[in-house]
Amino acid sequence: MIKFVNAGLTYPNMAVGLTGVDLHIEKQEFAFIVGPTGGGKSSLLKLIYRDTVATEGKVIVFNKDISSLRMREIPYYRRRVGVIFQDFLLLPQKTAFDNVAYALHIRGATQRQISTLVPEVLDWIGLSRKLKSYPTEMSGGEQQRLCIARAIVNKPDILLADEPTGNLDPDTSLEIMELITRINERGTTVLVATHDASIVNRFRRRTLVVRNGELYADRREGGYHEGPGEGTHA
Amino acid sequence: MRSFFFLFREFVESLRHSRFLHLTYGAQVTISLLVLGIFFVILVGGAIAWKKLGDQLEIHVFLKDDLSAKQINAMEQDITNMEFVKAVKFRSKDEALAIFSARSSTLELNDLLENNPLPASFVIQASDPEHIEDVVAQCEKLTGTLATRYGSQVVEKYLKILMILVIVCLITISLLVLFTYSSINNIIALSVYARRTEIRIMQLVGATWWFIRWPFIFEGIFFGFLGAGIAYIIIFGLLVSMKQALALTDLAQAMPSLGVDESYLFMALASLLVGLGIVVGFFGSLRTVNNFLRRELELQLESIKVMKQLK
Repeated sequence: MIKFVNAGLTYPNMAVGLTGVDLHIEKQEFAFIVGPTGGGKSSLLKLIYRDTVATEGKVIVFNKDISSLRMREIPYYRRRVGVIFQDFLLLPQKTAFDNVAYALHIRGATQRQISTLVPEVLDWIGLSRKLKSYPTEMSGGEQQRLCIARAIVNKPDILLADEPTGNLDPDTSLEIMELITRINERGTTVLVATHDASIVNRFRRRTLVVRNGELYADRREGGYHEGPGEGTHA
Repeated sequence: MRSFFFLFREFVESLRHSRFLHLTYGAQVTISLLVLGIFFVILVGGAIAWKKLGDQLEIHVFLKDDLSAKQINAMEQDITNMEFVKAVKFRSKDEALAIFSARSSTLELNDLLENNPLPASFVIQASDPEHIEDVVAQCEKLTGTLATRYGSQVVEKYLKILMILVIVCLITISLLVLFTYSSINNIIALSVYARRTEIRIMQLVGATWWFIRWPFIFEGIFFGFLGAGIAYIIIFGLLVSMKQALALTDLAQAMPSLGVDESYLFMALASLLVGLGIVVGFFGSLRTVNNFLRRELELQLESIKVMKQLK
């Protein structure tokens, strides 16, 4: 599903984001990307959702080198890759319903599809009573749920989460992670970037440790301990 | 079509949410188009007056009395063949006397009939008022010419002033078009900046460039049209009030002689303002949104350059 072949990313200011990453994520797999801040977790995700292109090697998604995608092909590619962020990126002037419906409008869904799919997704993630609420009237956990609903309403093949629990308390973080696990169980490939060791250790899924732009360790059995001596080379 | 209605709704929503920004936008476009429209009216008035005065600049070539009909015909042929001559009309001695008598009510035509002192003449219209002196010079060289007479220096002076006015108006209008375009660019840039998070979200959930562009293009067209409409109403009101005020003065008699067709002028003004407002609104918004969206492309191009450097 996702393949990095000696992939690297050097930013225009010559700062190294990633270097020599070899990685293979299977279809329907769940993996954590862990490591210190600035280690390259977000760069790795950015390469997958084609926010930037690899300056070395290749990033192959859906059997295609995505650096060769044309600008006009990128929107259609992104409809297959859902993304959620630590700071939610919701539209404050729109209700929960409209925030989710927005993603459907973009792909040209009919009004009937929208009025069926949106309540269905909001119900599934536990926001059925918040249809008409605005993001500012919702808690952090609810906002993140809403963000997840928007990301999955188009039934993406891949879900990328960049620090999804960064702004949440431990209990809400667990709820969000359980929700993301359920999405994975429905068949979506999930990659979660986090620096929260407790979450990684609790869920025990494949763990990729990224440090100083390198894939430092790839643990199939999962687990992570914060600290400078963490992990062994992949 | 579904997306079109959705995007139109998004545009209406955006109007509701950023009222102050849009009020500034509307005011700026309206003022630019208003000033532009006023200069356009001056330009059209000046151009028509220039043309009319130019047409009135006739050259009279008076003929010697002893010319035969054959010589007169040859002379007419020579004048017709001259460059910058639009029309030539022969005026016989009798016709000249009739015109003179009509203008001088104090003189009795019969008193002069026995010995008509007025010469026959050619009345020439130049195709370009600029070249009247060239035509006069050529006519003076003809053997049958007794004397020549053409437009007064005062009229020529007016023509020069009008020409300067027309040129100034043209330059000002061009500058105002650029100013309106840049106003629209700046305001749309602010609007884009205010909605950068929304644009980012749109990009992340897979919106195409056109999907992102349309609400801003609607904005540009809407304010271009609205600004043009308001500017037109103000100019129309001003012209009507001016006309009513002039009707009470002696100037009213001078105005019709310029032959300005008002309905034509208003039609041209409305077309210019609305057309310009819409075109500038469309392209101004398109360019600004494209600039914003291209940043992503530029970042990727930068990465590709880095890729080449590393290789």
